[in-house]
Amino acid sequence: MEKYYKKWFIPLTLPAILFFVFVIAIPFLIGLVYSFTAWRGTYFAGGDHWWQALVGFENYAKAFQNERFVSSLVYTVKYTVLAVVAINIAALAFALMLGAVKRGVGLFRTVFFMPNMLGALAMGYVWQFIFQVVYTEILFSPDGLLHVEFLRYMLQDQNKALLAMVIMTVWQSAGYMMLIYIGGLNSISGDLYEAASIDGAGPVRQFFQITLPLLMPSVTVVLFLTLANSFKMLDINVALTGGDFGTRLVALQILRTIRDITPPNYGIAQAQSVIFFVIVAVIALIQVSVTRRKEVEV
Amino acid sequence: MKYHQLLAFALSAAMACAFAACGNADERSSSSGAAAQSGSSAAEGSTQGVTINVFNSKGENAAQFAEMCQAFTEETGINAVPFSVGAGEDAMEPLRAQMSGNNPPAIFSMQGLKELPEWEESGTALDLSTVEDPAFKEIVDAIPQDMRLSPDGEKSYGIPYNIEGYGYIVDPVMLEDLFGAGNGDAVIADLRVCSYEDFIAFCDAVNTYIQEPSAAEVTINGNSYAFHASKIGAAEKLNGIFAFAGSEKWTYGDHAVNVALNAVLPTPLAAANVTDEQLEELRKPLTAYAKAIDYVSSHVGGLNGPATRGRDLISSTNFGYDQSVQMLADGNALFLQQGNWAAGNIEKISADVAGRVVFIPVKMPITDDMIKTGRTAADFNSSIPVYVPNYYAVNAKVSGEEQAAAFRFLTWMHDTANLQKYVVDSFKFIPWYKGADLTVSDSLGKSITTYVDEGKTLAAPYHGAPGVWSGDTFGLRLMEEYLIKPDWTEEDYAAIADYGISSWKELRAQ
Repeated sequence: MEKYYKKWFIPLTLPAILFFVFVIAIPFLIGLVYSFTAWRGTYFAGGDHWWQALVGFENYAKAFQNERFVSSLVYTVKYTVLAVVAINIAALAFALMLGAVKRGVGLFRTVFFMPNMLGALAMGYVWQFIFQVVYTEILFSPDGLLHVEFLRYMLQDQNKALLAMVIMTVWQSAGYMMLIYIGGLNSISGDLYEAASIDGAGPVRQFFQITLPLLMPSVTVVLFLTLANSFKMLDINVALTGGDFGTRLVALQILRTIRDITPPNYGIAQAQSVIFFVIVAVIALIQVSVTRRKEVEV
Repeated sequence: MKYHQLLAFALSAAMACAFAACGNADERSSSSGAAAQSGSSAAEGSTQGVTINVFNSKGENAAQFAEMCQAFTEETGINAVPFSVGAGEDAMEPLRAQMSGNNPPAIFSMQGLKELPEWEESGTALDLSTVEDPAFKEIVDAIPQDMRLSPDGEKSYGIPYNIEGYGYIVDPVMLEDLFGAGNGDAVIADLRVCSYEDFIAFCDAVNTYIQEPSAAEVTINGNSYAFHASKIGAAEKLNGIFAFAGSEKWTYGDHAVNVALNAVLPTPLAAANVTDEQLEELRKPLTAYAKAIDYVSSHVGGLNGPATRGRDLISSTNFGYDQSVQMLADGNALFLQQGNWAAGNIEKISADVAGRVVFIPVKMPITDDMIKTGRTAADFNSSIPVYVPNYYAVNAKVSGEEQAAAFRFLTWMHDTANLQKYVVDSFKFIPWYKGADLTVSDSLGKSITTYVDEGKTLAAPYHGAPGVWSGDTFGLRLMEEYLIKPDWTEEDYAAIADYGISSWKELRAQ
């Protein structure tokens, strides 16, 4: 078998490598070059070729001078922290709950997973309606079920909108992360819990001493996915607030940069994307190496 | 093993083909280019068999536009391939993609001065005033000075698509139900020319009537009209004066503020070259604008009863564009500030209403001393903004044959019969070209032509403001900070005007 893989390694991986090179690597490198030029989308300002329009680090400097970019970075970090914590708690809670129930596990699993199958942009508009009408006028209005002023007009305030986006993100991705946690939980041997309960360990202690340490590989994966997804969040942001009330996340900010400046300055937008890439890469690398160290083997 | 080798080879070959396909699209134009070169040398013959791509930024008339291109191809032998963006979609990204492709459009579109810098700087936009083709030159020369797409008043970079206008849309039948049969047109005639004070007195009277119907009298422009003693017909559903789309920043950001800008800046070009002194002169008109918006947004009708200014007013599910059109068509409100493009949306709700609505001007407390363009306040209060929303431009980077074909296409389009058949009847546009006898059939379009014929028009200087100033900056601030507040003070008016000026300066410096 090993001989087979050795012989066929290159032909079998070639399509994937070609796709990666053409669709990801080459555009990325071109983008990197463009971030150092006066690129305007269809032409270079100041020359026919990119080497005639080099501006050095000017685009990067302008990106950091741009108040909107910096505030969108801060806003994205806030959103990511909240979303990662909330999704993980919800996903783990669902997974543990499903481990405890005896009947209808398949049904619950399907229901929790379902939101993940729907397009985020379309669901974003559905949730816009939920926040604008169901929350504001039906559930939490003065003549509604329960008057909670804080939960009304959630899309019209920077902080409340953050919470609204987190609520929708949790609804959408907790089911998917739950599946990863269920996989992890299933791989933990029941013997350990039996032994622990004979030794007198309660459920809380069992969770922290057995479940969590042995679940760390799943936690690594889920944390990585949620971190990366939250940082890159665009569709929910577009659908719920469109960036109004200072609610632009970084991805939307990059998209709007070309509209904010006339003629459109794609060079600055590209520089923002590169900065964004570096931040996401650094955070992801740190996170993976930290959580890897916490993984234990039985 | 043979089988695996074969499979791997087939897969790699398929991949290679997939990538090679990207480079293939060029063939058509080069072969047609060759055909063009081998054709006769006569001016008309040289464009035979040429293929030109035509970029149309109005997705709403995609099918009709394609039909027109088809007719042109049949008549002239020039292949005109239309590309229309999706209805209501941003046209800039698709246009940039097309421009970077192998077959860039020979004819593309520009939304006025806002989009000109990009294509002028890249050398894509052709200065049409330099074209020598006599038939085409005639059209270029016919573009009135104030409609010319020009960064300096000399050059000319586009042929107008059409003209559009906006104002308060009002239903004459609603006025007849308020003031008695036969009085509708008279009230409209007076509303068309009355002062801001008369207009507000009129709105206040209607507001009182909505709450307590009585046979009270109201005077507009010196003429008195008495209300019906009790509510009848359309008036029964009336619950507010204005239909208002609070979540649509462009309605009060772009359009309403444009009226105030006209006080100092008579053209988009003037706005593009605005001086600091002129921006300072805008302070009073912008304050007047704020007062007018304060009044409008505190007298809003709703689909389920009258609205109050507050957070609900900017919710897109209750006060979006469609809802505001419905408020007017259903008779919940008397006036809707919109343009003639709304005719189709009104028609979807009520063909009857769409068939009779007309415009009255958007009124603002602008006085003679605020106006620096030589006009008067009375003139302002009886005029509506009418402007060119979009231009056809010719791509300077395509071959000479394609450019010649593009001129031919635009010349053909401006033939009287074609203008009537396609532009007027099929696209439902109001033609800018007045050289011919054209009949506009829709009610709002006709209403605009009456203002144009009387010379009672304002311009669209907001097109010359920095790209994101009017809607996404000034309009956004109004939405985020003011439309959610029930009460506005004199300080708020001043702050709104101040923000308008300071944000303009800031964006200009970028």
